[in-house]
Amino acid sequence: MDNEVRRLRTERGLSQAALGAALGVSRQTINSLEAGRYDPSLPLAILLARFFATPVESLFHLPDESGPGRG
Amino acid sequence: MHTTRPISWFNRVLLTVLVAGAVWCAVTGVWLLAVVLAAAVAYLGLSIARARRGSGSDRSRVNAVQPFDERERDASTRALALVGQTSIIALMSIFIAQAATRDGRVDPVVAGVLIVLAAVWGVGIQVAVRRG
Repeated sequence: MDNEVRRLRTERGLSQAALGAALGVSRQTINSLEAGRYDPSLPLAILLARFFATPVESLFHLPDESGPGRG
Repeated sequence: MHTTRPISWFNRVLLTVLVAGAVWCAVTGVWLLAVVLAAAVAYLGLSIARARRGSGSDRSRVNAVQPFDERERDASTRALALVGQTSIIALMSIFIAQAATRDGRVDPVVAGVLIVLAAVWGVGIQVAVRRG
């Protein structure tokens, strides 16, 4: 599943380790999320959405759907 | 800041078995195995301590059966499921080979472990489906 985690994280000047620490997950898990190798559980997806103050459906989208900033 | 995670139930059981085994071997005078088991306890203890703090790589934490988050728990579950499947097939093969080559006689330890594995398999499926 595609997501906007990397864009939102870098916009806020956060490292993967810092975001992981804030959410209680490892740096490697944030890296896997951003690379699209790992789809988070619903609780983690909601935590991410709350952290970035954005709806879950704006943060994650299916591969054939365009996300924010993709035109 | 990451908080320290509790020791997994698997590691609590494994450490208990290793410590008890080391003491048993020392009492019965099997010194080489006692030393090997004591070294294994020390290595495993250090690995667990590192993994509990979230230190090291995700691979090392999963390898220590001390997953740090949901992704590592998924990886650990999938890896150990593969170990379980392999164990059942391997033990079943040994059971059949012994029965076929020993006029139907099978080592009771092999038969016992196979029965225990099958029972755990059945209970595990029930629990997993119910929680699914």
